[in-house]
Amino acid sequence: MVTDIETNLIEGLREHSPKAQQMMVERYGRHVFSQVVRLLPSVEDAEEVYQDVFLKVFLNINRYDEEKASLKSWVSRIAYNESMIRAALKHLPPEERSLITMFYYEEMSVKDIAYVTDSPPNTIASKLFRTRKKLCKIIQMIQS
Amino acid sequence: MKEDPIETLRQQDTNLRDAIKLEEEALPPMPADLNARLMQRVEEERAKEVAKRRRVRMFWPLVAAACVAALIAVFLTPPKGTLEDGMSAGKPVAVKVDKPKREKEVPQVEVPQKATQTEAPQRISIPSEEKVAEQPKMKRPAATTSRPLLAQKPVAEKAVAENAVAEEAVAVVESSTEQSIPETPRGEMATVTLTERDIPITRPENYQYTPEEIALMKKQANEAYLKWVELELEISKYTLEKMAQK
Repeated sequence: MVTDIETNLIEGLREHSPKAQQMMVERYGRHVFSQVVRLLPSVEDAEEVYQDVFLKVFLNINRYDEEKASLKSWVSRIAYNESMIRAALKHLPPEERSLITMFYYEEMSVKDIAYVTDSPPNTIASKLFRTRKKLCKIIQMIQS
Repeated sequence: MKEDPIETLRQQDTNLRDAIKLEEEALPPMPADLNARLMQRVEEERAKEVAKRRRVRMFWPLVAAACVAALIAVFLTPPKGTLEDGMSAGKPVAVKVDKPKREKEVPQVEVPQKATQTEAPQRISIPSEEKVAEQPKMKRPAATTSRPLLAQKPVAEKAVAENAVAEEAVAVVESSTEQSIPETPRGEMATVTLTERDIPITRPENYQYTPEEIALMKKQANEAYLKWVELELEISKYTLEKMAQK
């Protein structure tokens, strides 16, 4: 299922080698971008998701299981999920969208978000929980 | 097995493949610098990660050092009872004072009742200064001494206490012991509370001149002024005489 080139590539990625990362981007970049653009019409969004996909790949390469799928399929799966989340975000009201963006994309703490939005941290935590559930429902709707 | 017919269908369906191709071509092209930007972001993330790890690595030794310091502080500090800042902080301090031994009075008890009745009022009328002299064995805590809580002092200190200088402090201690503490059996200890106010030099009222002192100073100033005037007169007389002689 996995070729020798891919095996070397995965080894390099697990060692966080910049060369391997560059090779990965060159090898699968075009494919990921076209997949993302198909789901997200906006190029800006597609570019952001593209970068997020590869960052996730580099960070979570140790979780990749060669037995289950090829590297290309694994990367495609991440790209698909990321694109779906981004597409679902568009269906959220501005307040909930900004909460999710601040928490997941800008990696702000609940305390900081509470300060920015001028609301108690507990409220932010509960809103995030509800928004996550809502997002899951929206993704299921898009998929169906 | 099932994939094969689908694969053949896909290869045969040229129209669909053309449609997909056309749609792909209609999609926006991938920006040329996107990979470069991605790699730059990866570098930034890596630097962030390294900084985070370094911060964690710096944090734990500091926590460990703080814990060790706290443990040392807990185990090496002396118990509260031996702390010596009671008097200096101005807090009231409990001082144990020996009740004067009345060895001399013991034989008096054996004197017939009439004699004791006559002596009793005499004892009451003794002024406090005399009482101080009578009771040399009482322990007087010095304001600056570091062990005000010690119950027993050495004999040498007792001797110093006998020649004690600050009579007022002694008087205060004496009067307070006389007033507040009921007589205890011989050899038992009585507790007196002393504060900084009991030391004469630290009393705020002693910082100001009394009216008597002010009157005395005025009197001395007037006398000095008169003397100065007399001296000036003498000087002028002397100069006049000299001029007359010339």
